[in-house]
Amino acid sequence: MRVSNRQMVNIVKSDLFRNAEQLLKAEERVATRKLINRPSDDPIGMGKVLDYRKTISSIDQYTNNIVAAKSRTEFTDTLLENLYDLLDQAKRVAIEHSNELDPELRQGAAQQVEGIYDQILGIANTQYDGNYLFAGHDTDTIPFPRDEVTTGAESTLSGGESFNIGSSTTDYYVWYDIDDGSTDPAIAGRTGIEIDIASGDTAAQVAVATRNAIDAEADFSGGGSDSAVTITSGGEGVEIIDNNSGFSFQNATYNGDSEKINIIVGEGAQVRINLTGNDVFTGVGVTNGTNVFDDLKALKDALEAEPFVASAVSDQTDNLAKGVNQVEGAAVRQSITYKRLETTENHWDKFKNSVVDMLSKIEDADLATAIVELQAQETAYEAALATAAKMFNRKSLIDFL
Amino acid sequence: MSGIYGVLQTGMRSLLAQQRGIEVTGHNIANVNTPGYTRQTVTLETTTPVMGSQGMIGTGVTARESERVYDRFVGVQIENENEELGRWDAQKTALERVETIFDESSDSGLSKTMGEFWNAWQDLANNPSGNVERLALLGNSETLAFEFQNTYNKFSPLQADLDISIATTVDEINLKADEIGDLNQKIIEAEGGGVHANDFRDARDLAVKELSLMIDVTTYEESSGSLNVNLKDGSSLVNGSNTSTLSTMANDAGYRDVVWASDPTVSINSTISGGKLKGWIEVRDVIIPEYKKNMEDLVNGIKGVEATEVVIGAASTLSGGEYFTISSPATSYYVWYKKDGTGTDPAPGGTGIEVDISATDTAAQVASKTATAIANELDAGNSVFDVSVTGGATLTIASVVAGDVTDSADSDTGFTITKGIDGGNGVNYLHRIGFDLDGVGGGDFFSGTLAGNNFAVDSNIDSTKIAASGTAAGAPGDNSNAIAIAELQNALMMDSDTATFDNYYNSMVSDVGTAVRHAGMSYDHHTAMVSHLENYRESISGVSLDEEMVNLIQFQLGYDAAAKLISTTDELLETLMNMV
Repeated sequence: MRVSNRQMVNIVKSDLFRNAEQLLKAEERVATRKLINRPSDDPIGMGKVLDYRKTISSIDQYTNNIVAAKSRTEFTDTLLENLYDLLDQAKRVAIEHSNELDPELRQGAAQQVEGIYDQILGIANTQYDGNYLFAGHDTDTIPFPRDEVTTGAESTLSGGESFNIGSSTTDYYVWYDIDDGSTDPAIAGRTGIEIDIASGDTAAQVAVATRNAIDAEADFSGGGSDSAVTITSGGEGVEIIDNNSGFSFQNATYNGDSEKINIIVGEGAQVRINLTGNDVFTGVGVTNGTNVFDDLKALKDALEAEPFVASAVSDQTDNLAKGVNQVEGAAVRQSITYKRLETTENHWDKFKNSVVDMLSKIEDADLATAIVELQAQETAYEAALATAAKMFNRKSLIDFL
Repeated sequence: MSGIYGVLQTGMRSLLAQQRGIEVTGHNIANVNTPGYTRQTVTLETTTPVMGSQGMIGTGVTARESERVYDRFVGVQIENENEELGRWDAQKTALERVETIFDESSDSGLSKTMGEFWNAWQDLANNPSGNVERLALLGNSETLAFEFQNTYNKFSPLQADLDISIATTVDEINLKADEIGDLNQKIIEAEGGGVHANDFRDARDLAVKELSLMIDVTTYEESSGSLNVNLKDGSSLVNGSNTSTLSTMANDAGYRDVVWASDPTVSINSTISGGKLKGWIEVRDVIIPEYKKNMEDLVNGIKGVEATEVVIGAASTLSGGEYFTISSPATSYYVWYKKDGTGTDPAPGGTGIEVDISATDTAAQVASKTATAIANELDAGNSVFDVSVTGGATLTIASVVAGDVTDSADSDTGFTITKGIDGGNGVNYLHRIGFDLDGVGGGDFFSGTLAGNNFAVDSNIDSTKIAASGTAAGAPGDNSNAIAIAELQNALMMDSDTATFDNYYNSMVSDVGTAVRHAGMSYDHHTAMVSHLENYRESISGVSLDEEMVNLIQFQLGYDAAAKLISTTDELLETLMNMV
C-alpha cells in the first residue's frame, strides 16, 4: 500500500488523541476515586447509584426516627416504673389501714395518699420535648388539669364558708358572704377573696361569681362550667383545701384523646409510640381498667370519712391492684414497642452496610486498580509519543540524495 | 521528418516533457500539506512516428496533461460518513451540556434534594407541633422548588444556543453552496477548453466534504464537469452555477425552522436527515423538550392535582334532565338538573343528586345551587366531596376521599367538565385534606409550574400552616397527615403508577447518560470510519515525498539524458560541418 505523508501525520495524531483521552479518564478515576463521574460513564450504574443513595438517605431517616422514638419510649418507661411504685405504695397504705382504728393515723394515711395523688398527677402531665406525653393528639393541652372545685347546691352554703387556694408563692382563701350577713373566716396567713351571693342564687350563679372573683386575682385563673370551678395558676401546682362541706375536691379529668401517634420506621411500616391518658390513668378502653385518680380519691375520702367504713378502704385495695396491672400492661406494650424499634434499627444497620457496600462496588474505583490502570495508560501514551518522535526523526530519501 | 534534425527535435521534446514532469512533481511536493489536495501525475507518451525508408522512425516523447489520482467512490463514502459524523458531533456536544445539568455524580443533585424534602416530612411526623421541624420542612420545600425550577431553567439557554448554531450553519451552508456554484462555473469554462481543472476540482471536493458535515447531500457530476448537489430528499441545492438559498423562520416554540428562501413558510426540519443541522434540530426540538416534559411530569406528580372544575353554562342552555357524574372509589353520584319542575332523572346508575333550577337563574346561581346540593347531599354526611364555587359559574369539586371527577355521558350542552389528571394524589391533595397547627384545613402546598417559571412553595404556607394533622382540627400531636405525605416518597405515582418519584427521576438521569453515551459511541464510530476513509483516500491521492523524490530524480535523469542527446547531436552536426 502507498503511504503518503499526510496519512502518517493523521494516524500519529489520532493515536495520540486516543491515548491522551484514555489517560485523562484514568487520571480522573484516580483523582475522584470514582468509577462514575457523570451519568454517561455508566448510565445503568448511575441509576443504581441514585437508587442506593436514596435508600441510604431513607435508612438514615428511619434510623433518626427510631432513635427519637426509642428515647421517648425509654423516658415513658421510666415514668411508668415510678407510677407503678407509687400505685403499689398506695395499695400498701390501703391494706395497712383497712382496719386502722386510730383516726389520726388514718388522717396521716389520707395525706400520704394525697401526696401520691399529686405525684401521679405530675407524671400524667409530664412533657417531653415540649409536648404532653399522655395526651393523645392534644399534645399542647395539659391532659390532667389540676383541681376543680364544685360549689354545692346553694341551700347548703351557709355564710362565711370558705376554701383555700394557694400557689407556691401566695395563699388565698375564698369565702362566701350570703346576703351581706356572713363573717370573714379570716384564715391566718392567707388573703381573703370575698364572694357576695344571695340565698336565692343557683349553684351555677354561685359558680360564675366564684370564677369571676378568682379570675380577678393575678395569680389564678378560674374556669369550668355550670356549677364547677376550675382553678389553674401559671405553671404552678395549685393546692386546694376544702375547709367546709359544700365544696368538694374534684378529681383530675382527662382532657386528651385516645388517638395514637405513629412514627415511620420503614417503607410503609409504622410503629405506635404513645400511650394515652386513657391507657395509663383513666383505664377507658382498657380491659379490666380503672381510673387511678378516682381510686386514689376514693381511698383518701374513705380514710378521712367519719364514721370510718373499713370496706370502703378495702374496695380501693382491689381497684388499686387493677391500677397496678393497668400500668404493668402499658409498660409491657412499651417494652414490646422498644423491642420492635431496636430490632428494626438493627435490621437497618445491617441493611445499610450492605447497601453502602453495593454502592461502593458500583461507584467507587478500587484505588489500586485505578492506579495500575493509570500507569498502564501512561505507558501507552509514552509509547505513542516515542513512536511519533521516531517516525518524524526517521530519515527520508532526501537525506540520501 | 527524419534525419539529424529530427534527432534534435526529439531531444527538444524530451527536454520539455521531462521538465513538465519536474514541474508536476514540484507542485505535488509544494502541496504535501494542503488539505484536500490530490496528487497529480504527468502522463508521458510517444509522439507520432514518421515513416522513413527503413520503416517507422520514433520521434520521441510528449507530456500529456497532468491528471489527478483520485477514487471518486471514496469521495462519496466520505461525504456520507461526514453527514453522520456531523450529526453525532453536534448531538454529543449538546448532550454533554445537558448531562452537566443533571449533575448527580457528587451526591448534591436533585435526587438528594428530593430525599431531604421527604425526610423533612418524617422529621415533622416525629414532632408534628415542633417549630424547628416545621421551619426545616419549609426550608427544604423551598429548596426543592427552587432546585427544580433552576434545573429546568437551564434547558432554555441551551436550546437558544442551539438555535443560534442552527441559524449560523444555515448561513454557512449558503456560502458553501455559492462556493461550489462558482467552482462549477470555473470548471465548466476550463474543461470546455479541453484541460483538466485539477485544482478547482480539489477545492470543490473539499467544499462538498465540508458541506456534508453540515447537512445531508447527494452529488452527481454532469458531463460538462459541473457537480450538482441535492439534499437527500431530492431538492436541489446547487445546480451548475445556480444555487438555492436556505433560510430560517420563527416557529411556535420561539425557535427557528429551516426553510427554502423560495418557500419561506414551509419548514424542512423534518426532511433534513444528516449533518450538524440534524443533530442540533434533534436535540433542540426533540430531546430537550422531552427532558423538560419529564421534569414537568415529575413536578406535577409531586404536586398532584386535586380539584376538578365544572363550568356551568348559562342557565338558559341547561335543559331539564341534563347531568354530569362525579365519583369516588366507593360511590358514584350524578348531579342532574330539574328546570322549573321539568326534566326527568336520567338514572345513569349511581346515586342521583337533584338540583332544582329555574329558567331565569343565572349561571352563577346554578353553580351555587349545584354546590349547595352536592354539599347537602354528601359533604355533611360522609365527606366524599368537597365543593366550592369560584369565579361565578365555575364549580370546583375536590374529592376528599381519593377519587376523580369523570366526564359526563351527557356533557354536550350547558356545562363542561374539565377532567383532572388524577383525582387525589400528591402533596397538594394530601395537604389540602389535612389540618394545620391552628386546626384550619390546609391549602395548596406547592403552586405554579415549571413551564410558567413560577414553581414554588405556595405563598400562603408558613410554618404554622403546614398541615401535619390528618384528623380532628386543632390536634397538635396528630402526625398522620405528615406520615401520609412522607410515604408518598415510596408510592408508585409515576409512569401510570409503576414508579416512585425517585425511580422516575433516576431513570431520567440514566436516560440522559445513555443518550450521551450513545451519541459519544456513534461519534467515535463515525470518526473512525471517516479517518479510515481519509486514510484510504490519502493512500491513493496523498503526496508521498519519497515517491516524489524518486520521480524527481527520474525526470532529472531523463532531462540530463535529453540534454546529452542535444549536445551529442550538436557534435554530430559540427563534425558534419567540418567535413565541408
